[in-house]
Amino acid sequence: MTSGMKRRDFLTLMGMSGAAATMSCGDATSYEETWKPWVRPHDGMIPYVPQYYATSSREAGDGGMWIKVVDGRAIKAEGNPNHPINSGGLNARSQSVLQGLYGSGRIKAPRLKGGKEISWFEARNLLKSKLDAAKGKHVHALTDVMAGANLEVWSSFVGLMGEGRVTQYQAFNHAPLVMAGERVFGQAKVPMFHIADTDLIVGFGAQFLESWGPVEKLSREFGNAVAPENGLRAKFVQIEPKRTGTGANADQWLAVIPGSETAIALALLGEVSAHSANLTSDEKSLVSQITKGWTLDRASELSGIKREKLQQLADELSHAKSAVVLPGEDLVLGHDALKNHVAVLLLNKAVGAIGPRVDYAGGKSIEYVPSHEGIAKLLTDMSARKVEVLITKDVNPAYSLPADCDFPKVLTQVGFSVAFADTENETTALADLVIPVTHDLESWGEFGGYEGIRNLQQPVMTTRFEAPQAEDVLMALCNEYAPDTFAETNFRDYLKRRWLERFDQAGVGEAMWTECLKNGGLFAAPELSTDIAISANLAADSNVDYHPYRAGALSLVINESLRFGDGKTANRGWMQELPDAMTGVVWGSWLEISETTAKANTVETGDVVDVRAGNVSVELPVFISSTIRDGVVAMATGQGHTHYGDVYHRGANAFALITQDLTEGGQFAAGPMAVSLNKSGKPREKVVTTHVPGLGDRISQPLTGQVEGVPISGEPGSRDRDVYQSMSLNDYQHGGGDHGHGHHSGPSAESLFPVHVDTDFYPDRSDTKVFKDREETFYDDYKWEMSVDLNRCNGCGACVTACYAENNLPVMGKDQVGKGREMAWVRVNRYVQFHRDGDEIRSEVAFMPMMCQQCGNAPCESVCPSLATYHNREGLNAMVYNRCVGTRYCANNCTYKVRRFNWFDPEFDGDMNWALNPSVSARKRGVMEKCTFCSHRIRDAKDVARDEGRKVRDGEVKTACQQACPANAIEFGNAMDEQAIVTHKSHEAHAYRSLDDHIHTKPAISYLKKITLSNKAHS
Amino acid sequence: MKNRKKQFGAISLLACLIVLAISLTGFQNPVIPSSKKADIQLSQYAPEQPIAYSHKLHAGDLEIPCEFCHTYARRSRTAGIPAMEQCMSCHKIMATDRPAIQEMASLYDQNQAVEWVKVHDLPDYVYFSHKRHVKAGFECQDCHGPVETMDVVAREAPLTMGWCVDCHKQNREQGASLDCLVCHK
Repeated sequence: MTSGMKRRDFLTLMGMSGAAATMSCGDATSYEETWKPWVRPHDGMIPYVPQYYATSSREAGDGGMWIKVVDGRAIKAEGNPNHPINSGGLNARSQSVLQGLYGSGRIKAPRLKGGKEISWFEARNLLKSKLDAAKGKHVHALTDVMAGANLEVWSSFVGLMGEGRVTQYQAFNHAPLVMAGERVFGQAKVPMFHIADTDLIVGFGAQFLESWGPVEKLSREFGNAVAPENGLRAKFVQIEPKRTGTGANADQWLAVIPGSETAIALALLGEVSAHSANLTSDEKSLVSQITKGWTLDRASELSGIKREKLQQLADELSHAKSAVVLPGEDLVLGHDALKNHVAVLLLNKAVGAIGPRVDYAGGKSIEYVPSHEGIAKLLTDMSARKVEVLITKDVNPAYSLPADCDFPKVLTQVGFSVAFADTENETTALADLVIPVTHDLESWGEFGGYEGIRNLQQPVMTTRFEAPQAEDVLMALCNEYAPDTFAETNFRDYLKRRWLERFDQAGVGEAMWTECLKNGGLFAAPELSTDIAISANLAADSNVDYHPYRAGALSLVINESLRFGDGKTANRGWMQELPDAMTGVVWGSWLEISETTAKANTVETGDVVDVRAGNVSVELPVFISSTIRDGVVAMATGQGHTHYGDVYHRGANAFALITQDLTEGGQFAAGPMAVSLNKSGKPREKVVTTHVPGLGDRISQPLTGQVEGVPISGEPGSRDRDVYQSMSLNDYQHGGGDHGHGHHSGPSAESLFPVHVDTDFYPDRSDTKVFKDREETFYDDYKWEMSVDLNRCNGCGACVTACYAENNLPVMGKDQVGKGREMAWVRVNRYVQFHRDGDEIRSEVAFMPMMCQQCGNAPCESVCPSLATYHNREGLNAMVYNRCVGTRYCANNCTYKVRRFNWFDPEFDGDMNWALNPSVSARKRGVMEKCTFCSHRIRDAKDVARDEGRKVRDGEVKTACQQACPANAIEFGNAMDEQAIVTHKSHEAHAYRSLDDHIHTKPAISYLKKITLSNKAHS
Repeated sequence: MKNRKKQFGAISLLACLIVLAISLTGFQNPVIPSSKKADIQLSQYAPEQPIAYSHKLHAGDLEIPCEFCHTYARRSRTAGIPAMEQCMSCHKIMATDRPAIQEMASLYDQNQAVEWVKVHDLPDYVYFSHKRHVKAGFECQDCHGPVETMDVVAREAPLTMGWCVDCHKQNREQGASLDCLVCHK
């Protein structure tokens, strides 16, 4: 086609005539747009220039956040880079705080039971009259865990009103671990775990990469431990019946019979302590009383794990230089939680971990870990009609208490119930009076917890609705009943005074307060505790008569959900649409079951079953999985709401199955429970998003499929062309690896996938001059590249949510996701390979974040008829949204299936459009979109660099996914800079570019192969 | 090859005919009834503002520099319009007898702002930074025209993509980029 009309010319002509036609019939005045200036400019606020506020919220747990505010609106939650827990990372659940702020469930005005809205004046009078009547009697407060000044205000108020108490309640906390610490070491604390410099991590089920403890810190340190940066890496053994997202990262998964974890812990303790140099002879005799009768044989019999494996683990623990043992999940352990934690702490003592790795000096003391005894006592008082007025805040007992507590009925025994709340939920629906209060991001406050970490909370924007802060209301009430209770008229001033009184030893005053606000609190890491001797009282704690839970034919275990926790974040689209790491389920609950067990119960994936435990039952669809032990079924918490916004009422509530018996550890008893399954007869539900149907040859294994007779690894062959690659530590140490060119890796290279042989799909076009002037100097100053370390990635999904928040991605809902229309620009691919060995399942799980690879030789670009996507001179596969005409050829041709098409105009829940990032276009229906390496952040960095007359420095641009990643798995930078971290990473021996050897797409992302421990080490 | 050429010729001819037919039957030139609307061309848009503010008086006769009021031009993507407080900092004492000033003062007292009509408005998918252009040495008038001579501000430049690209082409040596992503966000 050298002469005549070219295809593009033709299209251009068509486009132009179309445009002319449109323009000539338009109304010339219709584009009139008005704007208002500020009445008074805000100090330091420049339009479009973001401001960051350091604060914290209940979602962030013990961590801290930076909230990005543009033109007075909070638009993104990021991890506080100066915070000892976050260090810049932020998990997905904490990021969803924005949807809590802007969501449709926010309460706009005071209301009575039944929903009748009343005026603030009426609300005040009603509250006052009820309090007047109850004065001197039992006025009670039920809140989330509080610290410092917040607690002081609540306590003053309740104390002033009469004989009530402040009861603090959390559905999940570490109360049994605190109690165990008290018994073993006389330390009533949750220790701080430091796992970065370990060579062996043994977990009894703690989901420490998802929801257990300070997850950002543990994820980061776990990444450091398993990344083979100095040629060595830690081994991680997880002991749990259902392989959780945390257990997925284990090198060895011991799929135990539920309830036998404690037997294993005691048996291991017996073995390890006998030869331990870290125990004195007195301590050894104390320990031997605990482990008496608990042999490896008995543990093997109870747990269904071969004795040799347990023996091997005991040996490894004895010989490890720096081992650490993490406890189990209280939800899974149930009545055994305390015993398990005692054994785990003793194991840590025996391997010498107390002090450097299990740090009591930096622990969280008991005052921040309220056991469930408090709320059990409150429920008793309520039932006995002792409570005149009950005020709740930041808790949802009507949802998260065990169903047999029957909270709704107990609440009717209370004279008058008031809910201070920002969002509607099951509890506000039952309250006699609901008073809207400020959201966490609109409030002052403080959070305490781990020693040396004091989080300060400050409002990041003006309140979305007219609502006071709860503490302000209480202070006003206090001052009415007893003038001068508080010298201040608002909580901010009180908080400031108390903060300075407690922490300003140097007497700096104002400057110290400002500094704390800027930093997000006070962080001073205490020195590591030294080794602590075992308490002599331990002798009474003999386990001779202890009989662990014996599984019935079918046992249910409940896991805390990474996305929903105790259910607070279930009304957030980002969380509902973040696929579960192991199953890919979105927008609902599922019952995980092994294939054999499913066959025995004649159920298939999608069948809705009735799960019955005792008198209670819940209904949910079945999901057949290869990562759960036979005879076990599992479900996760957080779904099954009834008053949390109609669209978010999904799945089943796991709390319904928990009973109100208190365990020895002071928690409502969950734990493994005998259940029966019955098909409900309801139509089959689609539960799974299989992200990438049929991508590549070996990934097309159905997520649950079993490959008969295929060994997991160790097969020779050329598997180095896979999307996902791994190699053995042995090969890595001996200089294996191929600099991403693949063709010459040795026969012992490991892969999760079976052998395949085929020829190159496309010829190597790397020398093709795609553009007219293309030459070696095609890239000028910058070529943006990314590296993703598959050793560090643990599949948590923080990157996915960060991308939603940064790039204005719409939430699509279950039906659309079911049709493959989710809009996530980055997904976390999950690969499972498993092998049945008798009744034992061996499996390997791998995660791989997959986003646009910004191919240097992109299949998508050449097929775009409108030149909406092209390769720019900085190595980006750029996307010009308003040029896109929606042919979807590019998505069709994309090798990595990372392009997303807008089938609809985006819709945002509540006021979520307030959180749109003004630097990124909000795309409309009919437009293709995808990751562009946060090109707006690159532009912003170049803007700053240009101001200073220099080039962008390494590390100056952080993509949203990189910034959020708690495990530091992602690096980003300029590959033209030889000193850049990303250049260094892409030249590592174990770096590869996905599918590049196969189809020569020249991706700009280099993955670092996962280094697996060699087969011999863990079979 | 020859056949293909013919094919393309035929298709494009057909397309042109369709377009021509459409424009003859349905889409004739716009009928603009009032004289006000007749003034509004793409390149000369001069909407009426809620208050008859004169740039000629302020920027021309009184020689107040542009950035005195449009304070963000050097620091942000947007030049910004002055906050009410800034207008009032002079008009608390100056020309307080005029109705327009009184109207503004009363708005200010009620904590309200004047709702100005945007004269220069770019589509939301365009990234344009005043800061970069000011720092590159452009005068405000290069794009906005001689505002200091206008009683009612009219748009001088078409603000079309072609117009932007032309200037970027001329200034490549100075570092203006022709990459789509420079402006498209």
